[in-house]
Amino acid sequence: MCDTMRSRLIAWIDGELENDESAAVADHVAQCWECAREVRNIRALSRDIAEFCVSSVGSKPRRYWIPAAIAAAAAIVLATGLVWTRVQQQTNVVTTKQPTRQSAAPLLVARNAATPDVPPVKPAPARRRTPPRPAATVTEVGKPGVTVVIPLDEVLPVGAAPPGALLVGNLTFDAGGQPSRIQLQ
Amino acid sequence: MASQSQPIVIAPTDDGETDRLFREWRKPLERFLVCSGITSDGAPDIVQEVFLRLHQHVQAGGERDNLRAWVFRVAHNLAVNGQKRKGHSPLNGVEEMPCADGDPERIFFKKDRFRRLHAAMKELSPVERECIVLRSEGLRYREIAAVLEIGTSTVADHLERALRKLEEKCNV
Repeated sequence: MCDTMRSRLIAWIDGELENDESAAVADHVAQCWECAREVRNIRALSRDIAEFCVSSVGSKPRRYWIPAAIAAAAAIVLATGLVWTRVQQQTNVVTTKQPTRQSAAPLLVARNAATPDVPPVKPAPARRRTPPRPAATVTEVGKPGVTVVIPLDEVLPVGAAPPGALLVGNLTFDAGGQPSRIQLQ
Repeated sequence: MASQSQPIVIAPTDDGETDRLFREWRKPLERFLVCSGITSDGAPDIVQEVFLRLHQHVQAGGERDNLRAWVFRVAHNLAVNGQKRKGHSPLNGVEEMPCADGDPERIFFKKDRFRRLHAAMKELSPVERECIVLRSEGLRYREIAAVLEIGTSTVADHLERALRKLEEKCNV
């Protein structure tokens, strides 16, 4: 191999030379069997190195970084749980104060006519209720189900959600009054 | 309640870019770290830290022109800092010896060459080995230079020297 050519051969193989220089090296390799052999050797070695690097890690399926997926899954679970808790609490209050429901004052949770009513429940005994944690907000809407608003930055670890990000979904209920589906907006 | 009047928005983190980059670069980063002397058990933790920082970088509106070099540079710095705390560890053993299909003679030569390559990689200096691994992962010389914070011509010199050493050891 030509002494001055080796470093240029590597750069040529790697596509790091300018057009003129690359053409000159290509011409030389076409005429010099030693340099042509060296090019083949470097390419073969490069393939072996790539194989070596791949085998150094193995194929163990270990991976992290899924904040988006975690956020979505956690928020759905959280929303379902929180909303169901609120619905049950409101049901107890309504049953106690307004047995007919039709004349009820605006409620925190309101359902439209298409949504089956909550089965009658025994009036709950007066009990002390702790104020709900402001992690999720259930708002009244004029469509089936209820709208759930969750400030993600309050319920997820720091950095997993940007400040002020909200997760909003529409929660619907089945005939038994159970939350059946949450649709993210 | 305050949230009732707020617009309904789920703020995207960074348009899923970090997720995409994670899928694309997780393995190359792990390979780079392991070939730099990090254990295969420790590499995923560093990669996770890299992507948390990448997420913050993107969220903060940081430079996006050469994210590949940025990611590898952060991994390199984390690995170097970790090794300073724990002491430098040599190149680890390979986890899975590649096995060529075909006749036993071919398999024997393949494994023998691979063993020699492994031994030769161990004898490279850390910066030579990093240059070789980064080149193998497809980084351009200017990207390798940015990762290792050295000049582009120095990268070419390291590669030339490292490949010569490897070739001498492997073609005995």
